[in-house]
Amino acid sequence: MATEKVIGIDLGTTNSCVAIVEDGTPVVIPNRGGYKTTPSMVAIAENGKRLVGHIAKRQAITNAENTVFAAKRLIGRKWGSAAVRTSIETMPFRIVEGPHDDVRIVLRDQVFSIPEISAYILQEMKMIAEEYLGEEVQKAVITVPAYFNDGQRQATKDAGRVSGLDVIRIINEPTAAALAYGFGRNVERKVAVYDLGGGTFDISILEIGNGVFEVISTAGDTFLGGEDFDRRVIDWLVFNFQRDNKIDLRKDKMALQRLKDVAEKAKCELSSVRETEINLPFIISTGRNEALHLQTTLTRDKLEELTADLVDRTIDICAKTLEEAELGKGDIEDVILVGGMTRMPRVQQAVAEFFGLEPCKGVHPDEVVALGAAIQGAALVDEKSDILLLDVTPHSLGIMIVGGYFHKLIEQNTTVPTSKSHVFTTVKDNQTSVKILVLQGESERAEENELLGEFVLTGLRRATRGEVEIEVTFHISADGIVSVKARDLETGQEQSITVTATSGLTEDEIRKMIDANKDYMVEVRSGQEFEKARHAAERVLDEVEQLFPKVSEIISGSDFGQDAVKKARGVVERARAAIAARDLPGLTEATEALTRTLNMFRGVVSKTRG
Amino acid sequence: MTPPRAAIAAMPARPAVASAPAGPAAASAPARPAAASAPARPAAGKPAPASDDAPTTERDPAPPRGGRATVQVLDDGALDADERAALAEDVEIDVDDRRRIFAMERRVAAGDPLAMLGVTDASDKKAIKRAYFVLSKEFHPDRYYGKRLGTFALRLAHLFDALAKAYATLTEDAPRRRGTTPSDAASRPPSPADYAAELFDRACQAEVSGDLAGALRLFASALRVDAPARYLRRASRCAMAAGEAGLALEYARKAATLEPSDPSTSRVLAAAFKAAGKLEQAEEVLVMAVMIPIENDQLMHELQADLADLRRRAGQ
Ligand SMILES: Nc1ncnc2c1ncn2[C@@H]1O[C@H](COP(=O)(O)OP(=O)(O)O)[C@@H](O)[C@H]1O
Ligand SMILES: [Mg+2]
Repeated sequence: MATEKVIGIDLGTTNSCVAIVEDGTPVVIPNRGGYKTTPSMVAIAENGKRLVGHIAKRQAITNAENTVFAAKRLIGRKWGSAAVRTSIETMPFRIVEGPHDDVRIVLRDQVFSIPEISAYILQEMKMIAEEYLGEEVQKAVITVPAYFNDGQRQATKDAGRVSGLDVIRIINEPTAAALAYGFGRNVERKVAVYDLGGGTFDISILEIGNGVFEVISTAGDTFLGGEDFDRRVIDWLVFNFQRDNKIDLRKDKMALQRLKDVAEKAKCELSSVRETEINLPFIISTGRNEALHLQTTLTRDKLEELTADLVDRTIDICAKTLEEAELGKGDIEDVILVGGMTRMPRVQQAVAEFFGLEPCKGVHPDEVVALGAAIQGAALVDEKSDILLLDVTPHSLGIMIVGGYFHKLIEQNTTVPTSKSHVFTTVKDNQTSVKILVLQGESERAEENELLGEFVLTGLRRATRGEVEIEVTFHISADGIVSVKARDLETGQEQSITVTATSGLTEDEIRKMIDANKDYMVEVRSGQEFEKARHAAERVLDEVEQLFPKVSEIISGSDFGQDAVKKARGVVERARAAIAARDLPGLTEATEALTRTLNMFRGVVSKTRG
Repeated sequence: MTPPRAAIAAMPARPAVASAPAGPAAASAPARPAAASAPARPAAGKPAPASDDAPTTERDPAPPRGGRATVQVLDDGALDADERAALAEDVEIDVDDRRRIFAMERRVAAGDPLAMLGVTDASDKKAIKRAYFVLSKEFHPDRYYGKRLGTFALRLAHLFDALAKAYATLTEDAPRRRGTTPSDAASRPPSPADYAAELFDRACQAEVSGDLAGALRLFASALRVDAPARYLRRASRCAMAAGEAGLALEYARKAATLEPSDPSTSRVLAAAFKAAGKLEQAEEVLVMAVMIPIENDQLMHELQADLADLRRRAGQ
């Protein structure tokens, strides 16, 4: 039986690309126009027709309000999030609030969800593949930025489903790039993937060997990409124009769209030439029916100056990622450049300088991600495949504990599938139920993380706080699906959820939830260990106290002896204080000192006797 | 392209389960997938040199090429009831692969990360990684993507998780391994205490020659195997010299737990507290130490000198 065909789709912020493995060779599938990438744009034309890709891009200037681009920036986001706020200000199309605190886009009075918009793009990619292959395609692997959280991944999966695709796996873009890079060659090395696209920046470190691709570490910034470079150019143009003509071009949507186009065009041109003309005739008309033109020259040097901090930011993130992976720059044996922005000479130079090696050539920055997705697709369905991708969780996972803190069970960058358990206890006397809030993120404070889901475990035995033990187990499957189980260790009763979507709560709402539920929380069980430590401490303490009068009588005669009595008293007090504060590390330390004290006491006593 | 899995399985380099170093525990340990969370370290006997000569049941059932001796396998008595049931399960994993999964589960249940990956204490990081990658390819659930897996879905997930954790455990101690080259393996003495002593000697040599970082690595290796107060004191001093105050204190505290009334230990502990900026505790240790009657005047004198020195410094 021939194995089923699986396409790989790089669903980009700016451009999308589709690929497939044919007879063991991964190839990019060109669209009808012969282009290997398709703009991630969706528009509704005046006649109500839906336009996707190049056609949508071509009419964007004249139909800016009904043309959606960079929808990926909004996918899986909450209405109240900063990402959405900025988009509302900068996007020419109408963004409104959806019923689930999500985001909707209005095009010619029709309301679309973001997954719907993405689904149109995916549908287009599916069609491109089907025309090329001459058969229907069902299955796909879709890539997302490494930094996408669970909600964004889920929304991307939803988009796939809406488009009629069975999304068999979501993988990270940089991972896909490494797969394409390492495919068919027997390399054994650590590589860095530097991906600067239209809207996001990602850096990942992978270990390749023997057909296995292991992600060691991954990080990035979902708000750093080519559009930011474009915006710098636009700002510069607008500023100069305002200075010369006292007119703010931003006020005119049409002008702004044209500015965006020329800015990006100029930026791309400056990757191959040193300076370029920017020409926008009739950019705006003054009140007196008089048209103004915009005409200027932008040099590569000026562009580099305008965007220097953006490039620096990417390098800072690289440095941080290496540090987190406990690697030095010298450990990286190859750097793979991904994303259209890496065509900019200054970017290449900065990367080469930082890693101290020339980025590897020969992998096409626009195609490599889709190729990798196709390779992973083939590897999954083909039994004879000798490729394995070991992916990691991009964010830490855990639960909220008393005080609104986040207790991590699974650390960021843990290889999946994985599971982890931890025992928690009740926080109140006679607490009969606990609420488990499942969170994702890196912050210590629960409300600063993403809430993935919640459930309640009831029917606990009435007991004093800290007595009832609840074991919480996290499991992440190979395809990244998170399930969480809580078990009453006494009764064996349990409750679990499979995290499927974000609840769409804002930080504020989570904070309110924390307040409302503070009586149902759990806390980390340090109790048992503490009790053990306390027993041990108290045993030593008793003996020290017993000997105290006798010892002080023997030794107080000398200066050294008086010092020793004072110190011993200090140690006893320290141990008492640690017990009262239930301070485990403090008590451990104090017990050590107590033991030394006791030894000294015994020595003193036995010496006098003998 | 690389050959298909069957071919890889035949390669000698592969730390295949069939030729794995399997302790006696492996044969009797119940193959519980839940053992994925088994303790990272074996209880005793480290470093257990990988023994290839322990004939176990895992080795026997290797079926003749092409032959699928399912019934024979069930009869050989090596499988427990749980495994027998799993062999009879209607899943899309062939029988040999299932047997491998059982064998791997036993290795995991034994709890030794070295044995799990089929490497030895002398293996370097690269060798460990290779072993991990090869085993991952065999036991990662993705190998059976889209197949009907029944109870094996969970078995594989747990197995892989255990492998990944073993790999993490072994490679987190990377400095330790960098110090030992594969050539040391041949000359490694059999008893853990002897082995630790040898490592300790080499650490002292490194320290004397001025390679403090190398010395600390070797001390860490030695202490992992055997940790008498004497080693701990020396290691603590070395850590202080290298500016690793936290590590120095950790070693000194351990030494003091072992020998609380030993004056040398007290001196080291006080010095470590001092290096960590905990002057009060340093003083406390010395004040008590001078009260403990000892025979050795010289040592007593040194303790008092330390105390005077500490007070002079604290006074400044
Ligand atoms: N030659 C070039 N020089 C500089 N930037 C370029 C060039 N070609 C494309 N880009 C920029 O790359 C970005 C798109 O990169 P791409 O990898 O397609 O993004 P995404 O993955 O986000 O869809 C855009 O901002 C585009 O302007
Ligand atoms: Mg991209």
